[in-house]
Amino acid sequence: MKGILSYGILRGLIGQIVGWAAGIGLVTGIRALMGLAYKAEPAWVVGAALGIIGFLIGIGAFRDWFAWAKGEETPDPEEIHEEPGVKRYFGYSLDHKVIGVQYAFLSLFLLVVGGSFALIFRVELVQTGMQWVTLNFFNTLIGMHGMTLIVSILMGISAMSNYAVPLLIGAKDMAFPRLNAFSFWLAVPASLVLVSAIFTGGFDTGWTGYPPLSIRAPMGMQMFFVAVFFAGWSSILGALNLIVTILRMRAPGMKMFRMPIFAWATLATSIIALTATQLIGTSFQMVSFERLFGMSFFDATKGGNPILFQHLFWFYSHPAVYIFVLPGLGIISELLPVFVRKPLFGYKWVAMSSLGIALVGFLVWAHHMFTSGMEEYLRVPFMYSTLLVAVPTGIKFFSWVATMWMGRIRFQVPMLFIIGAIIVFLMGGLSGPPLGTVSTNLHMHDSYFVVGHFHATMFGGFIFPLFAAIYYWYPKVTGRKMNDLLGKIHFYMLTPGFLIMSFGQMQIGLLGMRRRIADYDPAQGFETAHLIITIAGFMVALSVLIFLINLFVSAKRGEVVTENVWQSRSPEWTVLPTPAPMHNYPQPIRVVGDPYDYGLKGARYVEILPQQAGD
Amino acid sequence: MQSAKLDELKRGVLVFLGLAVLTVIEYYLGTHEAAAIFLWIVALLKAGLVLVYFMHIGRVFRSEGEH
Amino acid sequence: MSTPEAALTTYKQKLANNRLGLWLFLLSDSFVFAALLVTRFYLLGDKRPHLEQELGLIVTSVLLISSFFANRAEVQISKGNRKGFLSSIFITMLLGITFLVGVVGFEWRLAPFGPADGPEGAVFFMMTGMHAFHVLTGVIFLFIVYRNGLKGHYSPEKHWGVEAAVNYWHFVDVVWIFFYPALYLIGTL
Repeated sequence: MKGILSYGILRGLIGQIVGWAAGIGLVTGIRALMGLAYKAEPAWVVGAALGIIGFLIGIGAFRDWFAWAKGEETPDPEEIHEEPGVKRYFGYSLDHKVIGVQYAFLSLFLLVVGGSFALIFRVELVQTGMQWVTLNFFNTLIGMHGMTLIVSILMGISAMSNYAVPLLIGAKDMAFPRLNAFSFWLAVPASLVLVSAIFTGGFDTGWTGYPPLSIRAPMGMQMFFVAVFFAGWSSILGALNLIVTILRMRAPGMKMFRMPIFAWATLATSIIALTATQLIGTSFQMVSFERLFGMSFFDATKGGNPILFQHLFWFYSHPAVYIFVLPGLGIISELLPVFVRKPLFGYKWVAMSSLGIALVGFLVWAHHMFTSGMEEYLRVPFMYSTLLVAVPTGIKFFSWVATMWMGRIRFQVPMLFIIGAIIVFLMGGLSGPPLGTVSTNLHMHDSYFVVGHFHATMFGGFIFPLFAAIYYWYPKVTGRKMNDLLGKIHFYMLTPGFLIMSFGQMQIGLLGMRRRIADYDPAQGFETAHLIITIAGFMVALSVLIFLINLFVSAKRGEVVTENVWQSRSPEWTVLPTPAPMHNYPQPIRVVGDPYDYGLKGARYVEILPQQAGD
Repeated sequence: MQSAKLDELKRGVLVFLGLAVLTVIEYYLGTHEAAAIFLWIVALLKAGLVLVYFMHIGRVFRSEGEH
Repeated sequence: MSTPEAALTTYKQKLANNRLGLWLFLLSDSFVFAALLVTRFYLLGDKRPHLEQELGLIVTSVLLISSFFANRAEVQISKGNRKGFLSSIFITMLLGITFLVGVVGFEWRLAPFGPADGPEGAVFFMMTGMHAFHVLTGVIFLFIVYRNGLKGHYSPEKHWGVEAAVNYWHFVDVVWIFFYPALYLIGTL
């Protein structure tokens, strides 16, 4: 028993169950004292929230902070020596590299879960009429697919930025290692609460949770709100940590304009995540309170206004898509020069374009609401600001194309995914303006065209770069390379599969297929198209399965590598051995040049300081 | 450094007096149906005083101990 | 690493990190309150809820005075005056609790509407409730600092705990600086 309990995650799960039960007991007890009967909803909401806190107590995330509150000193994270081994990955660790890998596992786990939801409802959509699932379950699956994958994406970008940013900027660790571990472990119980929404009645609103429907939805809605609230806090605290790390922990000599592009992209992303995420938490909290206490924010029959919810909700949820894609676009710019052996074209412009997208991203939210009945004078300004996003994004495309131009391209697996990302993101980007323009939006709103556009941007901006990043940094984590053949099969199945799926969705969307609808009229004639989309969806799933097999098998049997596999100039490859040691950069380093001067004679980037100087 | 610290207690009193006066003005404006913009201006002034003198927002931009 | 000067340099670096971190946290938190302000003006427009004017002025003054003492506590510890620091923190805490009693104990009872009575009730209880939650956490934070101060923990060079608690307290005050006119003064009944 004691051996099992040394795994932090199990202590956490026990804590979550205890906390959940305590919450239900607490509310029921208080209601009993007030002479009220048991009511499921308040009890389960408090239970879910206390369960999350119970998990964190169980895993020990509060231990050091409680010690500080009592006035005790705790050892410096840098001086803690954690036992090496697999066990570190299943418990509370302060090492940013471990936390990055933990994030990646959570992200891939949720990717599989959320993807499976999609496979279920894709099978249902092959034929008209209902064959496999009930209407409520279909709706629940649609909403769960959306939110599970959104959380998965948030975890995925945290994985990339947690693992890579401190290494890229030459820092020993993140600025706040305890907060870093806290942010990760907050997301684990939150994900469990999210999945529990299926078992507590589900919900029928889709991932957006618009009132007034969400006020009347089954109780799963509340689990969804609690989960998003806590996952949001995980994202906020992670972003805070990254901003401080990037602004204050850079190696000597690394000026802002010598920073790797990925650090710039992470900075831009984190600024959005830090501020805007509060709005989704607050708006969901308000719907939750409306359900619990009858506070009429959004119910028009009681004097509320449902449009207000959409404003608050999209103030986060539109910038959120930039949170999702900016790190991925940063990965593209980061890895492209390595495989093209040429300097990145227009470094400063690319760096600034990330901040530009982040800034403009705050001013476009109402383009989701052109048909909602909001104030009409808002339509045109929001149309223009939306189309403005194309400018900084275009800068990035221009830079990528110019970087590849006349380069000595090496088509290794990460590079394949980079090229795939650029192509797929281009498709996503080009299908954007028809949706951003008011006149066309009014026709395409809520159709499958939106679904196709969105999936193209997410795959191009996140999924493909994530796979590229995993193939690229995998040797740094494990000391082994992932299998090339399986990687290529993964790529050559994923790319056509995805493009067929996305184009098919856009096509039936233009023909009038509405999103989030379980059934459609056979006379519309999309059955064949739906079948093709479903087959393509399974192709995507199969390719991800191959990737996962590759991921686990290569950890044991992959080709052993010890040095700079990709001939990168980045300090984590040139200075550190492979796999990375437990503590980054035992010898202090200094940055003496620009990061992407590939192929330039005599260009230098990082050098090891000769003497063993103290900080 | 030392002389600046000596002044800080006094400065606290002065800032507090400023806040008190602004609050009285605010209350007067509010109960006499003044335009909302004046109330916003007063609120911004008060917030500015607290941010600058009580919360020392300038300290964030001082880069002490940066390596 | 082991020399006192090196330790102090490390402390200062961490202090600057902590400061930036706290400010970013406050920036993030202020978006919650901004969202509530937007809600108030979106739903109620230029109408304000019917509330006790005198009580509003009293709790506002109490919070302002508490901010004064919070600032005083920080200045005292940075000058090494432990006694003055402890008494100022204690007064801040008491005033904070007074504020909570004034809002939650009195205003919530005296308000002519409950949380379920239309948008006025929803807005009023959400705004004051969210703010009161922050005041409560601030009081807890101050209490932790007070208790550690009694044990003799802070020094003129190293008192980040005090600075953090006090800055958080000021932030709660700044929020109320906007909430007070939004709830009590702007608009007509």
